[in-house]
Amino acid sequence: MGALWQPALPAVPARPSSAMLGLTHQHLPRMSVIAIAGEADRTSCEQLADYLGRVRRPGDHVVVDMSRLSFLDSSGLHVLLLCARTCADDDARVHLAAAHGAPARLLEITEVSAHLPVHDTVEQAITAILNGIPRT
Amino acid sequence: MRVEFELRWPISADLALIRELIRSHGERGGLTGERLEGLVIAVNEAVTNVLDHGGKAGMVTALDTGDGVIVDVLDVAGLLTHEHLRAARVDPTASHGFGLWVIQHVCDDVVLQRSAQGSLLRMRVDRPLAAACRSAVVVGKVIRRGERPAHPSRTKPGLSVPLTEV
Repeated sequence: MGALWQPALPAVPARPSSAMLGLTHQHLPRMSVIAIAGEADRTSCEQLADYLGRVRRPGDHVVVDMSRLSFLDSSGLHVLLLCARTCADDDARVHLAAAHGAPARLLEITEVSAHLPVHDTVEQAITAILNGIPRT
Repeated sequence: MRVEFELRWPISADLALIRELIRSHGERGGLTGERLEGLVIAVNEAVTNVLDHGGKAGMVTALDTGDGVIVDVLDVAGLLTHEHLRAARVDPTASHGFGLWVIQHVCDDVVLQRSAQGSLLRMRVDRPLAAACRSAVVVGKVIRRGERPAHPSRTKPGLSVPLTEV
């Protein structure tokens, strides 16, 4: 997997203006890997929604690399769930990966894993997609 | 004799700053790990609601209780009602009510007080030991811990559980 996927460069300064997320992506076969850095809240959720809509190729699964996401609120999660709904229209899914801290807590309490596949690492998410592991 | 510490901060659109203040207050109050993250998440949602659905102005007040932390979020417009809290659902397709549902699930207690000053949402997160003792006492007295609405996957659709009213 390492040959296919390279971790994205750090995209956000240490104390960013809270308005902006650092967003980067890589296209792999059948999937867009999107890394979110910073804090996703009401201020930045529109930026996230725009980016997801722009970057994802039709039919692509989406892997959301949350390893550099330090905060996620309900509006940010809402954006990810709407993206999942768009993906479902062309038989693709949104895979969440490498969440920790507050974002992981939010995913846990909202039981998002009942709707979306949640993985410990980006590599696991990519592997799951490549292997076509069926999930509910 | 413990030194009480109180934080008062006017609500503004700088949510990142408010989260930082609450995080450091929570740490000072002895919260760690998922309880600390939960407090930050809850306060962020409450302030977001004031900005998006309330009067866009108010006050965040945080108190150290000794057993944990209480944070009050005041919306001067007073638009938040008990019905909003009761109706909150974790609905991935709805953009409203999600935040209120989250608040009620990460806090040990949530109380809404409505007055001429506005609507005051009081959120309490206990330190782990205090939370364990409290829950033991609650079980001992056979008082149900049903003040928070259950997750929809564990309850019937449309069923709402009453929240503490003041």
